[in-house]
Amino acid sequence: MTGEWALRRARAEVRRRPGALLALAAAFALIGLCGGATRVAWRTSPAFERMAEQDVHVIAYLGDEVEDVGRLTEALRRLPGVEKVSLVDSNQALQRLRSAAAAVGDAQGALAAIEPGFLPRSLEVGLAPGADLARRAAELGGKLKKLPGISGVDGMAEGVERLRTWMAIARAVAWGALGAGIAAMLAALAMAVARGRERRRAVGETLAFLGETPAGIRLPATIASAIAAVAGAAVGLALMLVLVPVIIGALRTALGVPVSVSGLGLVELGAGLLAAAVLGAVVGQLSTPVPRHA
Amino acid sequence: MIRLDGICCERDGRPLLDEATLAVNAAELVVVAGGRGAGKSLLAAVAAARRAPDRGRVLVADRDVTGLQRSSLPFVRRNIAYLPASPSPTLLDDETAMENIMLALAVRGERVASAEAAARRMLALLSVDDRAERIVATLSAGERQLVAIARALAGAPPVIVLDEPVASLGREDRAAVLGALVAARETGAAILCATADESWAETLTTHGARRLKLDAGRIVGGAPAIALVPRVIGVAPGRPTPDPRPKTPAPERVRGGS
Repeated sequence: MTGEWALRRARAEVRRRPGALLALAAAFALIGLCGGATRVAWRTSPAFERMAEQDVHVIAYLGDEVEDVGRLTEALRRLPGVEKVSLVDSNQALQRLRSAAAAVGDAQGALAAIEPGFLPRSLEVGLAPGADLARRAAELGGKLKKLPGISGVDGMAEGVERLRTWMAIARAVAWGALGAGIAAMLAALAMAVARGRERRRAVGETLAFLGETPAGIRLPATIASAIAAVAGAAVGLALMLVLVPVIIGALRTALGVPVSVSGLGLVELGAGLLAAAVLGAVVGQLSTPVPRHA
Repeated sequence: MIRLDGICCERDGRPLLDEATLAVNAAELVVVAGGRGAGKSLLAAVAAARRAPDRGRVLVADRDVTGLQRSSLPFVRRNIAYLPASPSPTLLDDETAMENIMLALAVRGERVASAEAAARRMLALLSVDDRAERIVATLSAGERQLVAIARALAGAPPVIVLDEPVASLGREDRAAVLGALVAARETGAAILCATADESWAETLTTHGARRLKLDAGRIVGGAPAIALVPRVIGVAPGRPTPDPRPKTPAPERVRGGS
């Protein structure tokens, strides 16, 4: 069968047996959507993690006897894993306490009686972003406790642990969504293959009877499936390009973390469509039963 | 063009074809007549390279196709137009008559435009051109049979093997099929037609067909093929050479057809 005939047969298949091809296109739309979103998420997640891990700090409360805070600050800055050190005086500490109380709806009256000098001065020791924040925060807390002039240390263990838990949950949700997407894709692909096989069996029998080779028998379905796959993947990728920025924007607003997200480039889109064409062609081959006598 | 040489087929030790030997030359029409169970359909399937014999050789255009590899068989089959006996003419029910006919030409590598013209010509020859764009599933049994015959004959195939082609057809349709077969023979096709229908066999014989009889898997009537080949196909020893052209003129529309 020549290419001209194969294209004609592929068109006839689109016209007469749209169900299997629609199922295939839907499966590839899902693949495009999930695959594209995964790619974007893969690229964006390190930035999100870095953002989330920023400003993780240990608080070192200063004793009243400390006068040369600058020297202590310099000493702390030299510690490995320390990114920045900043002094929080009594007034700032009280201000933060009042803001925090207001955020949880606490009565301002309860804090009104606190005098500015009541709260101790402290140094916020910021950790450099990276893996194993909880361990590093605990280690730093231990070191700080031994330094002269430090009256107490808040290792922020609870906060760091909470951050770690949230990030683990986010990863689990992302993997779960990807797994569900893959399961749905496989189900849709299996349905497309099954529907295609049923419909194409009779055509394969007839073509074999007429003396067509197995490759010729599979060719029209291969072309039609590749076209359906590319069309479906294009729809899925377009949907992804529209939806992902919206979702990222919502996350950014919810988390209050500025993250810039770049969509897929032309090369990535082209590679995705090419992969869809190849995979679609393979599905077309698989969904065309060739009679044993062919 | 087709030569069956000592063909034997068995089932459960019972011979279905027993040393069947025949030859059909180009521009010749051979009718193999026989009763039920004589082995006509099997003979036709073997001649069309759709079934391999247990013993013997099948030669198509002097090429032994018996021992061909499976991958080579499609290239042989596409040049042998084969119409198996009803009810399985392997038409695609959800496609039109035209598309079904054109499919055979597609397999043979015809261009779309010429395939379309050939299909229309053959449908007109068989007087079913008004059914060209109808979905096959909506056609009557007789119309389906005519479409199947049109598919077999379209595009001037060099070898044609028909098994009970007119079993479900009335007199007018039979005349149309006869005209189409005569026209195919005139283009040089080697035609083998198996039938249990005595009157159809007689009709073909009166139109220049050489008649053979198949009985219990053995060809018992007509000339043995080996005596006919290589160049005297259609000549039985001691018998006059039959005129390969039709004895009665084909209908006008036939001559104006292919």
